[in-house]
Parts: sequence; structure tokens; C-alpha cells
Amino acid sequence: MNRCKKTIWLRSVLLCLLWLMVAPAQAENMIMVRVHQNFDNTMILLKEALNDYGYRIAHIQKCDGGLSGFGYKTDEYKSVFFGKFQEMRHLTGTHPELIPYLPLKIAVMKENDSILLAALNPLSLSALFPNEDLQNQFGRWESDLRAIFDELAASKEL
Amino acid sequence: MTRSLLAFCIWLVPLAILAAPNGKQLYTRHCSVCHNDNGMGGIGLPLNGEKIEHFPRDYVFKTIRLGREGRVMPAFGKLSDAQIDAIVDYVFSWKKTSERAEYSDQKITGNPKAGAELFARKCAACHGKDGKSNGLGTGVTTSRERKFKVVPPALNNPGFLASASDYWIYDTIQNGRRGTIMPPQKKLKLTDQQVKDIVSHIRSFEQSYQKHEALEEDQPTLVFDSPYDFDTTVHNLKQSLKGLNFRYFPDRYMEMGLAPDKEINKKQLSLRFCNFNQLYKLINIDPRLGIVLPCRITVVEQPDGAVKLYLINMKMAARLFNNTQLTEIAEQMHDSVMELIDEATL
Ligand code: HEC
Ligand code: HEC
Repeated sequence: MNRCKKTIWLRSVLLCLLWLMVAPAQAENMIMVRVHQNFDNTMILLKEALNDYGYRIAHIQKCDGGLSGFGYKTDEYKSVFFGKFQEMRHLTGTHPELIPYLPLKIAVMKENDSILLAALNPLSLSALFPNEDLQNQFGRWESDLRAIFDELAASKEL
Repeated sequence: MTRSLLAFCIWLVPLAILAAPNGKQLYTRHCSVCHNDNGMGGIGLPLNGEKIEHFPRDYVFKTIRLGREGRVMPAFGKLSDAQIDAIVDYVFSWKKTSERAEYSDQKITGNPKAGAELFARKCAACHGKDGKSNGLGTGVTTSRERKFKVVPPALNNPGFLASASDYWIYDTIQNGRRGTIMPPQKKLKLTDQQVKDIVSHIRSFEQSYQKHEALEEDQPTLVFDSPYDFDTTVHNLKQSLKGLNFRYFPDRYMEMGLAPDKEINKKQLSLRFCNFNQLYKLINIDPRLGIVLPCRITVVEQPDGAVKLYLINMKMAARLFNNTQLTEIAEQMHDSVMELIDEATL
């Protein structure tokens, strides 16, 4: 093998390795799910699921009043803010830079005859906040959110 | 010996079935949030209908793998080839056809200059002058009142251009998209040569496309020191909000709702606001935006009495949506919020 070929070969191996290292780190930025329930039932199921996973709903923001006034055809758009008190107190103390991202949020919106739920993927915060001690926290939020969304997707009509 | 081999093989059959990726499941998990079950469309374009017959396998495969940068659809880099194949099979199963259209992968050499002129006259009203779409948002209009029932896709998109072959674009222009507003060649009175010129022009978007530059040195959270005490800072911010015509929501303590009122920290207050004209436009552009709204400035008194303001870096957060239209508006909003902070902490 001549030298040039060798470096090309080496370079492609290195690139592959790099790709393998980087690939698992890239996460979907959003977690979304489509739920086949009406809006009110979706909200009930979401509340139950959040409670089951130890979260409390801090409040529900109606985004609709203003929207229907602007020609939006459905009133059914809400943001659900949720969290755990001790976790929140701890994080805002140790990592105040997380304050604008807390409490966590889920947007619930009607689209024709189903409901879409969307949340920022907590793992996408990993890229923004690489501090090592936060990574477990982001991972826990992500797996909880996924499990909650999966439960809602699989729910039978109430 | 043969019997045990047979037994072994029989054992393998269900394993193989288990291992084969399930296209329907994968579609439901990864695509139906945007394209809806059965491909009726939502935040994403409709996939179902006659157009499926015209979709070459390669186009759908690459579209999934590469996504549409800046146009909401993510790249599915982590799905295996077999998984993507299974999704494509599932999508194709909605419309059985005896023979799937195949297109030559030869290049079309038209006159891009002539094509540009034709594009401006015949296509730009829908697909935008520079091919980045003339509609707000993406996909199908459902709850939102918009100019287009189906928002014309961006044709200058690198994911689109890398997935579509010249002859497939040619075919799409020839046939239009029946059942949608996208007109066929006949209706647009284009000659065969003119269609080729337009294809060459669309191909030239590969050179003119401008990527949104990365913001690596930026911080996800903006932090400001206030020269005033907690109450004065809150008061000043409210005055400035009124002045800038933001609609203003009731204040909330950060921890409110998570614990009994007497336990929560009263020195972490969130001021929440929205510009409703912008909000409506924004929700049209990306209905998922509720995830980061309303805008919020949190005022925090530190243990040593110093007061800090915390807010999300909208320019950075907007990028998580993979939506260039949104990123552009977020940049404008960022500037008006900075103005507000300046005024309140002067
Ligand atoms: C009246 C509006 C309108 C006009 C004019 C129009 N289009 Fe379209 N075009 C659309 C819409 C809407 C779609 C998506 C339809 C669908 O798939 O549901 C589309 C789809 C396409 C696609 C497929 C892209 C993709 O990502 O699937 C191509 C290519 C295209 N148009 C090219 C053209 C060209 C070239 C012209 C001018 C000769 C043109 N269109 C004129 C509205 C229009
Ligand atoms: C977050 C939303 C989203 C998700 C998830 C998504 N898409 Fe898309 N998709 C879009 C949007 C939006 C477009 C149109 C882009 C434009 O308007 O420029 C699109 C375009 C497409 C197209 C081109 C359609 C055409 O008419 O040429 C195909 C094919 C497609 N998506 C398939 C898929 C498949 C399969 C999946 C799942 C693996 C998927 N998409 C997941 C939003 C999404």
C-alpha cells in the first residue's frame, strides 16, 4: 500500500469511528405523539400519567382565548407545566441557568380528530448544558416522557 | 442430524419474523405525528393519494434518511436501512400499483437562466422566488386559517434536492399533483424544453441555498444583573412590558403549584408575556411552539441580595424546531426583548 492510500484508509477508519461516537449523541429535538382521544380525555389521561410518574402539574396555560380571536378554528390548545418540587428547588439552586427551561412543559393541541402532544426532548438539553452532573437528570426526564407518551398513544378510547 | 437441523430451522422462523422491522409500527412511531395515520398530512405534507404511485423508492428512502433541514422534517439518521425500507413498504402499501414508476438517473441539461425566468412566472407564487416556499409554515392547514390549504414545499431544500432525481422532478412538473393546487405542465402551458429549463434552475438552488450559520459560542440561557432590588426590578420590567405593547399574563412564582404556597420561594418570580400578533403568526409557522411559550423573564434574588434576570435564548431554542421561518422571527423577537431588558435595568 502506498502512503497516500494508507492515509486515506486511515482517515476513513477514523471518520467511521468518529461517526460511531457522535451518532448516538444526536437526539431528536422533540418528543411527539398522536393520541386518539378527544381533547378533554387526553388531558385527563395526561394528568394521571404525570402523577403516576411522580410529577405534579404546576399549572395549565390556556393558549386558546387569544388564538380563536385571531381566526384559529379550535380553542383546544393548552400548555401543561409540570415538575417535582424537590428536584426543582435543587436544580434552580445548583444550576440557575436551567431556570428558563423549568418547569417542564408539554403542548397539547387538537388537529382534526386527534390530539398532538409535543415536548422538547430533555436530551436535547444535554447539548446545551453539557455539565456532567446534569446528564442523568436529562436522561430520567426523557425516559419518563417517552413512557408517558407511549401510554397515551396506546390508550383505549375512554 | 437432519431432524435437529430442521427443528433448528423451524425455531429460526419466528425469530426472523420477530427481527424483521415492522413498517407500520415504525411509521406510527416516527412519522404519524406529522404526516398523520394513513398519510393524510398534518404538520407534514400529505403522503397518501395518487402521488404515491409517482414516488420512486429511492426518493422516499433518502427523504427519510436526510430529512428536510430547516423545513421541520428531521433526518432519521439512527434508523437502519432495513427499518427505513420497512417504512417505505408500508407507505407504498396504501396504494398498490402493478408497476412502480422508475426514473432515469441521468442529468437533465436545460438552460437554467431561461428556467429562472419561467420559475418566477409560473412557480414562485407558490414555491417562493428563491424556492423556499411562499407559505407560512408547512403541511396541511387543519385548525389554522392559512393562505394555502397545503403549504407548497420548499424546492431549494438540500434534503429535497439530494433525494429527488432530475427526471422525477421533471415528471412532477409534467403531471402536477392531482387533487392539489399544484398544476400540471399542460395547464401552465409549458413546452418540454421549458420544463427541462425549470429543472435545471431548481438544480441550481444547490449552489444558492444559504445554510443558517451555527451559533456555537452562544449560551442557551441569558443572564443579566439588575442594579435594583427585587421589587424595583419587577416593577421596572412591568412598566417596560406595557410600553412595548406586549400582552402580559399574571406573575407566577417558579415553584407555584408544585408545593403548598407557604413553602415556595417568593424570590423567584416569572413575568410572562406575549405579543399576540406575532403569536398567531408563529403558531401558523409551527404549532408546536407552545412548548416554549409564553415568553418569560424570571427575576431571582440571590442569597446575597443581588438580583438577576434569567431568560431563554430564543435564537438558540428556536433552532430545536428545525424551522427556518421560525428561527428568523425568533431573531427579531430576541431583539425586542433585549430592548426591554435594557430599558428595565438601565
Ligand atoms: C398554485 C400553487 C403551485 C404552483 C403554481 C406550483 N406548485 Fe409545485 N407544489 C404545490 C403544492 C401545494 C405542492 C405539494 C402538493 C402535495 O404533495 O400535496 C407542490 C409540489 C411540488 C413538487 C414536489 C416537491 C416535494 O417536496 O414533494 C415539485 C418538484 C414542484 N411542486 C415543482 C413546481 C414547479 C417547478 C412549478 C412551476 C412550474 C410549480 N411547482 C408550481 C403548489 C404549486
Ligand atoms: C416533525 C414533522 C415530521 C416528521 C416527524 C416526519 N416528517 Fe416527513 N415531512 C415533513 C414536512 C414538513 C415535509 C415537507 C417539507 C416542506 O414543506 O418543505 C415532509 C416531507 C416528506 C416527504 C416528501 C413528500 C412529497 O410530497 O414529496 C416524505 C416522503 C416524507 N416527509 C416522509 C416521512 C416519513 C416516512 C417520516 C417518518 C420516518 C417522516 N416523513 C417524518 C414533516 C415531518
